[in-house]
Amino acid sequence: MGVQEWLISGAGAATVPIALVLMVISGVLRERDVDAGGTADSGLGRLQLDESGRPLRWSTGLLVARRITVLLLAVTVTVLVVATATRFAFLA
Amino acid sequence: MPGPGRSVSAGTDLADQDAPVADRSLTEEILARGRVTDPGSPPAGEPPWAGSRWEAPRWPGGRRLGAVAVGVATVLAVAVPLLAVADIALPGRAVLAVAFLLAVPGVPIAVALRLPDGRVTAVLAVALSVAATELSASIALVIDSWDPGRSAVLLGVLGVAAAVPAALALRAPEASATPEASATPEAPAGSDERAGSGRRFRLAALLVVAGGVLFWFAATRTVDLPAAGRLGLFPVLPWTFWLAVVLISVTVAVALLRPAVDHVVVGAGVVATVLVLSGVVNVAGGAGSMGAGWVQVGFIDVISHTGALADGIDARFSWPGFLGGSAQVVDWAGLSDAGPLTVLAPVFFGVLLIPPVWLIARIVTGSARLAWLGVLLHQLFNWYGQDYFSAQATAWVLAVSVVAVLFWAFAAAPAPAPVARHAAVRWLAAVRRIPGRPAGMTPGRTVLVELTLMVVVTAVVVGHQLTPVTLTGLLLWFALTGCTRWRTLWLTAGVITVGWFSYGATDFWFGHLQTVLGDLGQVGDVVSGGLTDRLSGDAVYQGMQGVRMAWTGLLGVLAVAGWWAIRRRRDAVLLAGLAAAPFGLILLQSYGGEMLIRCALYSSVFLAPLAAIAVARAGLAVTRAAPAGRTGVRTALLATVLVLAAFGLTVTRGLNVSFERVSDTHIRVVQQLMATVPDGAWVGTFGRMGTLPLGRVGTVTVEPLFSASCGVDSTACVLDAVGADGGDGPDWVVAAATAEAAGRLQGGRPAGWVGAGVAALLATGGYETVVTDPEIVVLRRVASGQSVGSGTDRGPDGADGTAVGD
Repeated sequence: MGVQEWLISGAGAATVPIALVLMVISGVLRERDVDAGGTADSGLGRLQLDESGRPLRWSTGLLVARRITVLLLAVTVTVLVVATATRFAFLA
Repeated sequence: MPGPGRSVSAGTDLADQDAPVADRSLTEEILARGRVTDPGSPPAGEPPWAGSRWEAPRWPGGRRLGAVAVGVATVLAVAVPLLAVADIALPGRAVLAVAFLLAVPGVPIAVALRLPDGRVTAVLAVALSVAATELSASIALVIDSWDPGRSAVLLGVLGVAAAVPAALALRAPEASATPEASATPEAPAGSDERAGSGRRFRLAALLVVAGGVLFWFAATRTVDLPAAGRLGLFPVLPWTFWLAVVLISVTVAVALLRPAVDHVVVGAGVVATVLVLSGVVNVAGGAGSMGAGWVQVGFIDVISHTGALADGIDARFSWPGFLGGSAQVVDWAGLSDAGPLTVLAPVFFGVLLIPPVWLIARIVTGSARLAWLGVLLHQLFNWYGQDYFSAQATAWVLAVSVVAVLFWAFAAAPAPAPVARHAAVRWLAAVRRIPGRPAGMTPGRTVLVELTLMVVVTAVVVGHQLTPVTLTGLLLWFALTGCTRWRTLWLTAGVITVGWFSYGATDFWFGHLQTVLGDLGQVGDVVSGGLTDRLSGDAVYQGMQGVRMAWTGLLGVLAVAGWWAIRRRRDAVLLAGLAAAPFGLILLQSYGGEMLIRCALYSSVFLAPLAAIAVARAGLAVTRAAPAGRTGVRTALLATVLVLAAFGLTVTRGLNVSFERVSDTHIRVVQQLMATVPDGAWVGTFGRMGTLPLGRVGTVTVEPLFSASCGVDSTACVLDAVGADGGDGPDWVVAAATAEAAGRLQGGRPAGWVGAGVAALLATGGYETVVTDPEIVVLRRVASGQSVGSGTDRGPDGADGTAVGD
């Protein structure tokens, strides 16, 4: 099955549950990262530092995890949008 | 002023219901100032939404109330599935089924989430329950495994299972540490006397409201709906209706302006207002008005009988949430069809909207008193008639519930101010902001609430085509203004909407996407379809349509005045955007010429609370000069405003009653006809008739005998459609009395055009009369060689012992 056939077929529907799972993961990571007081920054670009000014290991891990999640989410949503556009173009 | 230990923001006065004696002065203080402000607002120069903190509202007696609700939901979770599976005929089973719909599994799950505010718990509980029913039905239909009894059992098991953590949540130490469960404050001197006076007032007020409802019911027995004409409903209403309106409005006004707001009385008065103003036509007619509601009844009937979606028949089956969910409720209730559910549907949806709209209005106005006024205004300007038994009404209740929860979460949490010198940069910074968690919420529960909202959003998406787009826009605005911690919720709504449209609603767009998207960007066509195209037909009727538009315009003007008073508050931009966002829909679709109405409807949830602020300020300004005892003047003024607004709603909402009403006689005849005609039959109608073909979707063809463009001479149109001998016409012809009014008022046809058309059909010799009733006439094509018995009056019930199809 070629890319175009795949996009037209119903297989692209799998992106929806994948995106939802990623959004839940994103929410869990956000709650782990952003405290009850909220933040003026989305949290995707900052690190918690220890007393000596070095990034905390868990903070670094969390930052990487959040960025990967957002990246995967962006890819998934893009695939969904492209698949939908392709279906519209060929099936409408 | 806030009391000791109260952390923040008395000016937004979320405490006023807990401090009733102080409420009046506080509210007055807020309103009497030049503008309503949030003491938590940032200093001058900061953006409107910049960091302030609202106190989470409290719910006195919340734990006891929660325990009762969980107990009732658990009983329902066991009883209704048993009744449904065993199909036990029990009086009140329909009521139990509807209660199950509203409480299971949402109540125990929402209580288990341990939200710090009982009112938010209630809003979420109902939304989650309805969503669960819709989703369970949708899943069963999609995987071709329809079984309403099994769905009831699954939902019941979920409800019972959730009752355990709910019970634990109610016993948790943190619950008793919350203010509502803490020790009763020491009663001040004279409090017993005041309490006794309050109880006497409550009893008397509830009796007056009940009396008003009785007068209203008497009015429904005597109102002459068929006599309604170009002015609509109000000229035909008896005095008992207006007496009911006055009694209820005065009671609400008195209860609302007492030193301590009596929420029980005001709540009962608001529910009674919804009943009186939204339910009169349906209860009087004995059937749900609006043919479009009966179309849904027909679709639901198809699902009930086939256990499947009628793919390829009607695109609306592409959104099965409401249709499937209703089919499940019909089965659980032991009903033969969904028809009985249409009668009180506007009241049902109106009442369901009260809690979320109240919550939004409570936060917008900063006062429980004004929140009730906001709820009332929302109802009193709701002439759109879109609350009939339909997918859109259900989806909108769910969508407003989601928005209400977001409002609460923002109001009850700290929100760091974006720091930047320039306004534009601060706006951009707000997008990156993540507000805090509402007090009392843990990280885990915050994610669980987000998950719950995702479930409700999913139900909105699979239930209706337009509401998810609106909801996505509203959620996006929350994210863009940095007013929600659940920043990806709009993306959730968007992804599910696009996914469902692309893969689930293929029937809707396969082969004709161009038609679906043809209105994209055609703003002029959408506006003309919603405004100028409606101003056609009878001249007086056109004028009344103008009154409708002016009524909405008045709400808009009041809302702008109210918004101006809070323009410096941190949520002013959020509110303005939410009120404006629904109008973005006119860029997408004309929605059959009804898009503007939907925009106004969606926007009214946010306009009404703002309008309440303006009304209250105007009222205080007017009465400020009054002598001592101005409470009485204010009460009289408020009661007058409410009565006048009720009159305004009756005029505007009831305008189309002459052709939107549906009588029980009409339904009986239609049901009998549809039970008789064979598969493949062709039924012609005068004008469009939503009550046909009921459950015969796909097996019976129903279409207007001739199009509206045919001309005003119905005799010529009929002969053109059926031929000189009637041989080219449909097998059956149905002419409803309401079609006569629709053609006359909207189509500019002459009086008696339906009668002339029927006479022309009979004159061809090709048709005979089967049913003649002032409400409906049914003709049947005469078979070849059969004698014609024109004018045979058998009555709507086949009174001569002959069924419709005999």
